[in-house]
Amino acid sequence: MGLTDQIKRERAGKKFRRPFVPSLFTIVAGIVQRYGLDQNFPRKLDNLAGLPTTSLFPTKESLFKPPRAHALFALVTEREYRIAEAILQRIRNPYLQFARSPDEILACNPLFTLNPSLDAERLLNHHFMYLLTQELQRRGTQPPTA
Amino acid sequence: MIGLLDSQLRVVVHGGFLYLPLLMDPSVKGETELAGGARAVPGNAGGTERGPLLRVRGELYVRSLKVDGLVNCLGMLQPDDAAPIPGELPATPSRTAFCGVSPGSKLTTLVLEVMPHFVRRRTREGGGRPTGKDILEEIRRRFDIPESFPGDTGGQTVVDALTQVREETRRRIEVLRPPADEPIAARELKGWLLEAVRLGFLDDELSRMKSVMADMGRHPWMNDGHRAVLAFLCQRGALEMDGFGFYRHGSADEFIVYVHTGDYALQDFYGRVYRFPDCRVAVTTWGPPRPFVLDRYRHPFLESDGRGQPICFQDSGRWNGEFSAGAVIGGIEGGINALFHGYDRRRRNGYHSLDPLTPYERTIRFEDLRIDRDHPDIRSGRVEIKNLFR
Repeated sequence: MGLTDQIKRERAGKKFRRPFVPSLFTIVAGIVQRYGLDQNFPRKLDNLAGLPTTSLFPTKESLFKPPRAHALFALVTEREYRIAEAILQRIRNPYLQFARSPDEILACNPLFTLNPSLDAERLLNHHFMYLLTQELQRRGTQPPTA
Repeated sequence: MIGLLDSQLRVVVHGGFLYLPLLMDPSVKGETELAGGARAVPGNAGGTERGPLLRVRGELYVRSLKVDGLVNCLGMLQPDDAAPIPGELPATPSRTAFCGVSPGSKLTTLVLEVMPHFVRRRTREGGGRPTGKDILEEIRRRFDIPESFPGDTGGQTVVDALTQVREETRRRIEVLRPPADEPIAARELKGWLLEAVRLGFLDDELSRMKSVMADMGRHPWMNDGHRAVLAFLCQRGALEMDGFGFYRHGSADEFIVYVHTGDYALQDFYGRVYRFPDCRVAVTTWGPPRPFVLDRYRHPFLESDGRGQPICFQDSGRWNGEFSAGAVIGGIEGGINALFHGYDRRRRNGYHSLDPLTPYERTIRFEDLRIDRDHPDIRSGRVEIKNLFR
């Protein structure tokens, strides 16, 4: 692609509106606020060295994808800010931006470890625990018991 | 802000300002870190302050509103809480009732300064201009007003009662005062703010009462009977006597003042006579004292035939003064003079002429007002032709 084509493409791209993408902090802070997470929650992430135990898996009925929890911009108290920052430090993978609930945050790292190439469509429409179960079944393994 | 004072949010009062918990995102966090170290707040055990930020017990607070401003505006922010405060005070004369007793009020100016100008001939035949005292006694005689009128409460009694309530309120404020530099629930702060609003209201009332009492010294001749007349007029809100009148507009100390013109006549280019009925020329005590007619009326100097039309003047910028007895008198007299003597039959000036040159320009007609020059009222002088000067 020549320089001219590149410039034309860039200019054409500027003409269209791009969808607003909230920041990772906004997403995580929204979940912290909505579910009232406390400082123990980031420690749960530390304890999950590998796969989440079966006790953390929700029932089949509760495996629906929760609605979006975050506002366009998050302004939280200092305590909530510290919790959100702690979560962000522990989870560094692209699946986090599709998380909608604390359960999904817990499943974020194991899911990415098992399959880092899930497409955005599946992540947007399916609960992470459901996807994690599917990945485990595909590999013929079971989550460890508590 | 309205919901804040009913919430359990922890706030801090420091240095006359209300500090709210600082809400954070990464950029705000960056700015607080850029602000650097904090210095200790004198007299505060655990607090540190830096610019608009305050750290108390490990939590960051940001400076928001000034507490004085909050007290001043609480009536608008929390009308449900602040509105009953005046009603809870001891029985005092209301602002409307008391304004008539104050010599500085517009009502008193109208009665004591404007009225003598317009009713002089009928009050004292051949005796010159009556004084304000004469007017008050005349009103008292005509309306049979008792010596003490219910609206006329003793000023000093009211001041004493208000002072006592003020002291009690001040003591309550001291009890409710929030601890300095300590987080408290916003709901607790609200009680203290409402007491501060009450104190401000009491201060206003006291200063008003004191100024009223000081104004009383301007008319040393005024006795209880005279004050009773003013209180009567204040409660009644309207008066008409010998062609002069006024009535209250709204609930404040604002009035519409008017004078009856009586019947009069004008003549046109051909000397034909038109008899104009009585109308009321008025000015308001608010805004510029520009004269207008209160009733439906036709005249060459009025644009149409509706109510409340301003009278046409060549120099409309002359009505820019503020309220004073002179401005009211000048406005009314200017209006009456314009109606009586402003129409020049040769120039046919004004919006309309009594005898237009073409029939097409007639939007307002005056033919029905025409009377014979030998009409008994004209001949006897009961109705005067006002524009005989040319």
